[in-house]
Amino acid sequence: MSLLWVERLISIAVVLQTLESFAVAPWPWAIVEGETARSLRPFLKHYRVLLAIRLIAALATLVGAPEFLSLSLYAQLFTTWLIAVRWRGTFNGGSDCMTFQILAACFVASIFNGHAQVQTAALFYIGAQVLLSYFVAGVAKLREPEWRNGHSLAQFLGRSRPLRLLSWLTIGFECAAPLCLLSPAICAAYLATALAFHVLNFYFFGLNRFVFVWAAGYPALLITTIALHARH
Amino acid sequence: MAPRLFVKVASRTKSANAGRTTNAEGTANAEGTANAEGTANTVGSANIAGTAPSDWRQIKLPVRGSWFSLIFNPTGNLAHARNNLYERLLLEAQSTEDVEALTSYKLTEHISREHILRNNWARAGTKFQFKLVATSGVATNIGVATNIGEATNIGGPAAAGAVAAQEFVSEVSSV
Repeated sequence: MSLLWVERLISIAVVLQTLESFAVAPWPWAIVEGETARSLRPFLKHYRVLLAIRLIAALATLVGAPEFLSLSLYAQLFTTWLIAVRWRGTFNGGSDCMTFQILAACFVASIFNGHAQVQTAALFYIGAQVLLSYFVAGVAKLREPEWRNGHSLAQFLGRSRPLRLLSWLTIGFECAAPLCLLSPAICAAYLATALAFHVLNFYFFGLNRFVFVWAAGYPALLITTIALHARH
Repeated sequence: MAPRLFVKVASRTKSANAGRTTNAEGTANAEGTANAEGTANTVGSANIAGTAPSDWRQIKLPVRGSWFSLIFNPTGNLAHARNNLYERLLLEAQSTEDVEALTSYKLTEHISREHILRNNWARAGTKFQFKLVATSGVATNIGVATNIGEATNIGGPAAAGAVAAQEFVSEVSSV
């Protein structure tokens, strides 16, 4: 049931991403064709067809025809990867990567539909991805002197004075991600804060895709935490 | 901080022709000068042969911040994609002699050319150059500059604690 939420939320994110992609011309094919593997060229040449297939697949997952679930998830997964290749991996890298991870887990789970252990493993995998995405980012910032003294954040926000307190709040919030596993209540509170964090990132940096993609993974982390505590 | 793209187009007047690269403080070591903000003086700062260059002008997508862009933000995401492209070009340019053969270079050149034509900054056939300027708080820097006909990579460590500037100046192309 919870995986259904993840599948639908990630499909909403894919629909929005695809509609955005329709409004943007990709890198000229004449320039990127040369570095593209020959086997992929027939797929990548017709960019808008790719987008159309992706949109239809995402909508089909949303509508929820169970007999076509694996196919629609696979189509989303494959076109997500092809579109990333078409953009040379440069179109909003982080959110593209998480989109792919979530779709991959959902696809594998859909193949083994009816096997509860695989469904649970897929949820755990997505939950771990979400948790690690914050924790690894936090540790990486913690290791950077420029983040610790607030200069990096000030530079990102176009401020002349270092933002030490805000920097440490960000580092602390991200490094605290493993606390989610302590209890479902802590996890829910953390995820609510995380959602607000992404909305702020959108406000300051325009990173709108992260909001929807990470939100799609939240049910998985919450269910993972609930499952861990139900076993004790 | 994300690299910024600037272009300079040739005008009719003749001027000197000198290559340039920046150091950590963002000052040029050739005849022209440039700073970390990507501005440069016009006299003697261009590589555009036989013509006087315009000032460096930044190419920037008109990203509008509104709450609707939370769900639909194509221009903002294209801007992110371009930033990633520029970062990749700066990285790749450090490890190759033939910068112009890089796909990242060709794409950045294409973006510059399209922008110049769309905004009527120059007519078709006009010479132009582009440059990428990146600043970071990290005190490391490699400046890259290219002159007409030969590619030169000039590197140097930044002064400790200084805000490093990394600049890449392209070969001359035609719009």
